[in-house]
Amino acid sequence: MNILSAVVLGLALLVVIMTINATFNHKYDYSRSASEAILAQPDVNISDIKNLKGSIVSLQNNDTSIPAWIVSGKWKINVNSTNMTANNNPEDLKFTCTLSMTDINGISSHKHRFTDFKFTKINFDKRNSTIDGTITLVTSEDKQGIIDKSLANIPVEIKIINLRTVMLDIDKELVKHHFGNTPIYGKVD
Amino acid sequence: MLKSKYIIILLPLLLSAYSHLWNPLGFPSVHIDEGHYMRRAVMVLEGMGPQESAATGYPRTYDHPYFGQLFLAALLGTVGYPSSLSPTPDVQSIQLLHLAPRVLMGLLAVGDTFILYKIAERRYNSTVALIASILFAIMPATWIFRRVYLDTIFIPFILSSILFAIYLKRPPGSSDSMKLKPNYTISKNVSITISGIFLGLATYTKIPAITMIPLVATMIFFNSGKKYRSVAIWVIPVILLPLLWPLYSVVIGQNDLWMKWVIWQTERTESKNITFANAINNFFKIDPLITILGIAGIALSAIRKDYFLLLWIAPIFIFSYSIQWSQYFHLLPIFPAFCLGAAVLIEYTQRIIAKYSSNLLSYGMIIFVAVFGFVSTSMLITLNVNSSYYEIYATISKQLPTSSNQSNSNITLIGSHWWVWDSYWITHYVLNKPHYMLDPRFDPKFQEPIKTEKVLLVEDSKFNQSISRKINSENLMQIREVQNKSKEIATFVDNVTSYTRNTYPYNTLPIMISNEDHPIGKVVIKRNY
Repeated sequence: MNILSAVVLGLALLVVIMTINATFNHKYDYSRSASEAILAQPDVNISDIKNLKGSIVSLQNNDTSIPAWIVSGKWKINVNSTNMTANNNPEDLKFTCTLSMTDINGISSHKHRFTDFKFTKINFDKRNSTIDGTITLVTSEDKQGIIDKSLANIPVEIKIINLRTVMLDIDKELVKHHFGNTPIYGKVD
Repeated sequence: MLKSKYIIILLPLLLSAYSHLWNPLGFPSVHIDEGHYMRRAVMVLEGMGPQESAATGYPRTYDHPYFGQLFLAALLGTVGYPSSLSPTPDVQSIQLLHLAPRVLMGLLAVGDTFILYKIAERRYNSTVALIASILFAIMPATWIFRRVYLDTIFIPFILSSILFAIYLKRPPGSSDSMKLKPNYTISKNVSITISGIFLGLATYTKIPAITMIPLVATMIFFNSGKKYRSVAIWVIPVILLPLLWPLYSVVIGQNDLWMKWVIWQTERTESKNITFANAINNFFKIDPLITILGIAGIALSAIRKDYFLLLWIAPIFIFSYSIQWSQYFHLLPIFPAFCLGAAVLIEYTQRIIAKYSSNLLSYGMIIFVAVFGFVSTSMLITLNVNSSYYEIYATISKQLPTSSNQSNSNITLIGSHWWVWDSYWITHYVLNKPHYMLDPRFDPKFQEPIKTEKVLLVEDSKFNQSISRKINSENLMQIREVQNKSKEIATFVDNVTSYTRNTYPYNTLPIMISNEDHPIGKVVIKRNY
């Protein structure tokens, strides 16, 4: 390597070293902005979700993925026994829900209840939690008879996202795609 | 012979110095991004490092890599900026604080002109080099280089990377006997490494510099005798230097935020007006002649099987089209390519005309383009669109109390996003006037309460629009109450686009402030103390 090459390369490497030094060698600022603080919040656990409740506000599609039903209602998670307070046993979780489904054209409507919740498993992922179980889907005021009055042992997945929103994913085959091809959405009150 | 060569280079450099250093305070208007980049630069000068502090309230903490602020801080710091200017809240002092970085940008643009000359001289010939560098110096779009953008900072690094890659190849017609003595040539591997370092630093300034990888990598490959090893040497700094950015986020445990804001940056859709099509349209409106001549010249080059310029602009267009979040100043890297393309076209046309007509007539095209560029640019750069800006800035600065303790703020500045952030870097860091701020753009539902008894309000059209929305917020009610009880200190009319006319180039002035929410018209400063 000749002198000029060595000098030029030396200068270039000096710039690189100074850049690396300036990047890392200073007082660090670990602050996170208010909008980002949500990412820094602690992970959720069973005690965060055991008494949650909220409302259902959702649009369900028909077979051609066009909105067909307006769904509203209430949902609630509570505990079966008093032991839960001390043990936080997820198997004591109980989920109930009431839904009112109205045809988007305003012609027909009917109601559902989720009863007899049986816990299967629970999973926590940072700020989100997913509860799996089965329910009995009870239908009333269904004058057109579009679904059976009672369907037992229907698998359901309840996702609670950031303790703000809820998604109910009901086994589509067993309910004959009654709720379309999307979950039922709601929020936490 | 050598003497006349230097005189020839002097002409574009002098023109460039005129275009980029004349009246830097008056034109163009101060862009909101200049405030953001200067804030980060003074934070580096304060020893706080290049990472945007979330403590300022600016949420997008990982929107760009760090070399822009490091570069600004390094060069401004060498002249003792800002303390060497003895900063005060007066208009003159505020102007001086803005002058230094703008002069620096002007000097960078003069450097760009020189590098472009050398690129064109080596790639084509000295005639193309002269024409291209003159076009770069005087065509109207060159005013964009007067602003403190990351895009203006990374251009000299991109051009230098191209230059070193081009210099790998011996000039046409030269033989070994014509080579300079070995001690005065840079070896191939060093040239390759330095080309890689320059592009790596450009990418560490702003990620879109990666669009130059196809061009420079191709040149490295072919100019080094089709050696893959050369490309491998070159690519190491190109990749490793930008990786300092995510590495830093890992070191301070914020890699989740890095990921979040990088994804946000690539998926930005806040304004439907910010699209690739609008960016091209605005660039064309700012400089129609260089756009037409540049594209025609690049097409001509491609027809003649010279894909150098096509390889320069095509990745930029593909990248900008794919992300869509593109504004006219994001297209700055195509401007040197347009100048080169236009120069190729003009030189070719000149030779054709000279062959079939008089020599004098053959120079008609370059004379026309040069006069058009010089006159249009002069019409713009002699404007003073910022006089109200500095007065408003100084008034805000004077009203904020100085603190002996940076964290001891007892005043809140409330105003439009544009004013609270543009005025932040000087007041907070340079003049030591720490304060809270409420920005309706970052807090549209007014979830943040006023934390201090003292409030300084900057009312403009954008701010009034924000607080007149129907929002159920007690904090907003509180702001309105403070607004009603505050007394007026000063009123200004922001004259930033007052020179707008129907005729070119004055019809392009609204583009100068497009998509930055720059409030124009009446600006009222009020306080409740």
